[in-house]
Amino acid sequence: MKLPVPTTKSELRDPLLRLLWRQWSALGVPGQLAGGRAMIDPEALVLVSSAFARHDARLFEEMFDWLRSNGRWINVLRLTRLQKEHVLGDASILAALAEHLTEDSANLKWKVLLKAEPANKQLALFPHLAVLGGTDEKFARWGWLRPPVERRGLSRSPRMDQPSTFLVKLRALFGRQSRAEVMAWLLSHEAGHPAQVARETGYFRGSVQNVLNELELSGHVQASRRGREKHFSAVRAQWRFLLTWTDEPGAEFPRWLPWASLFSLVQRVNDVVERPGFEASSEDLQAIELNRVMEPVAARLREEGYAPPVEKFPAVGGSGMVLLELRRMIEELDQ
Amino acid sequence: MEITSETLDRTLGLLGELIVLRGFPTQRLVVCGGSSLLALGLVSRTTTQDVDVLAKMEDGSLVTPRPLPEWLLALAAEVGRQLALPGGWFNDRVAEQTLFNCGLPAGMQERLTLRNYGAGLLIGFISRRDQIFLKLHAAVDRDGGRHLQDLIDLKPTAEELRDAAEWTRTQDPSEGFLFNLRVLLKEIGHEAPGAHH
Repeated sequence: MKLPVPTTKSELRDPLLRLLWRQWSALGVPGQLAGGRAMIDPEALVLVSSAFARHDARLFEEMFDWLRSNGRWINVLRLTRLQKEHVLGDASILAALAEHLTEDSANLKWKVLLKAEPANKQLALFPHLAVLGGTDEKFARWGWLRPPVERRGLSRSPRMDQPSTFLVKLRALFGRQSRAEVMAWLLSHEAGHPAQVARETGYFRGSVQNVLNELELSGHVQASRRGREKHFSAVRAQWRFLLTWTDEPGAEFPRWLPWASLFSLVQRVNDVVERPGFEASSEDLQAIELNRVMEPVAARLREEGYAPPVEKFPAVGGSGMVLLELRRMIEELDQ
Repeated sequence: MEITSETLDRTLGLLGELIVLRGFPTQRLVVCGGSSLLALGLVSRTTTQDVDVLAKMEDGSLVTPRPLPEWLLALAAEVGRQLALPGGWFNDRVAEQTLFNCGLPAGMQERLTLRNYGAGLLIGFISRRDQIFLKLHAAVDRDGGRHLQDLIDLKPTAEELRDAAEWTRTQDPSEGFLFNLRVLLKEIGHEAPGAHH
């Protein structure tokens, strides 16, 4: 039987928005959707939300509200590194958010995002809503028309007793620096060498190497030589006190997913299918254009050992099949 | 996957679409060989390995296509990957400089069958008469093979073969070529030019 294929852009966007709702709710945004078993990457989440959350005004406003009260959990330097490396997010929306956030002296670190290119045209931030009454000046400067920002203040701090906020819990313990990501990565993998850990966590190899060497001195992280490479692993039994959401003796540490790469894949595909005239082009042409943007991300995901979802993507066939597989991937992620 | 008469349109159409999408200039190319035979349905063969670019239509005349632009070869490679075509399916191997130094068959341009593949690609397929000329030359030059079979399939008349043989002598006036030409024509039941001299 032929599977129904997505024919509209919203069929890719809707499951992504549901995933974003789940992740933001887990972080403390008001909502009833629970986070999944994988740990959330807060920077990757902010980046992908800057590109997609505007298609759900309430999600966008809740994210904005959360950032105002909980922005301290975000590592802005890591965010800019992931943004550059994965070409993820919308720089002008991030700049508009940053301009608001830096009104609070506690959020001055967000200033680094104001280096984006200024806008040369203006669009409605929420494409499905008419802009009535006044517009927000800061957003307008970055090319986005929206009603003036109102602070709702409904966001809560992240709940630490769930798998999805595991990385935030580690940030609370170790600080907002590479040590938290390195520990999170080690606890969700058997072992890894510094270059691999650095690539997947979004930090520089040198700093990750130093952190791993220091962690080894604690005795709670071990190192072994494999050829010329030094591989590090966490002594998991000693870290089980962190699994505060379960009493099960066999409970696993939360999964580490390469969220930045996965979100980048979705954003690139979405950018292609949203190009004017794309839907009218031949299936072969659609497949060529999609493969062109997907190939580098898929290669990276394969390298990082996340091949299964990527291998499903057809090398041939029109956008319908690619969108179908991507939709499935999004729905299966973080379940 | 080899190219068939059905997939030829799809293949060239996709290349034309890509040229437009990526914003490259329109290409006006002359194609000969198996793909041209398939496009015009001139012979019984059903497949070909490649599209032979013979010339470029430029300012009202046919000029060498060499070198084909890098970007065009890159787009062709993308099309090839998508449609699982043999590597180098789109090439200018046939467009030897001698053809342009010594001259293509007279009137070839007027006899082209022009087809648009979108706004990005215009292909001129060479006529049956010009195929006979080029196939005879290739069959002599490259010791028969598929070219000889194509030549036989084109069912040339004695007059067409005589004209073709005369043209091939302008490409290679050597005694060795003439010898091989005579052998080949005799094989297919015709006499070479100057056979009585």
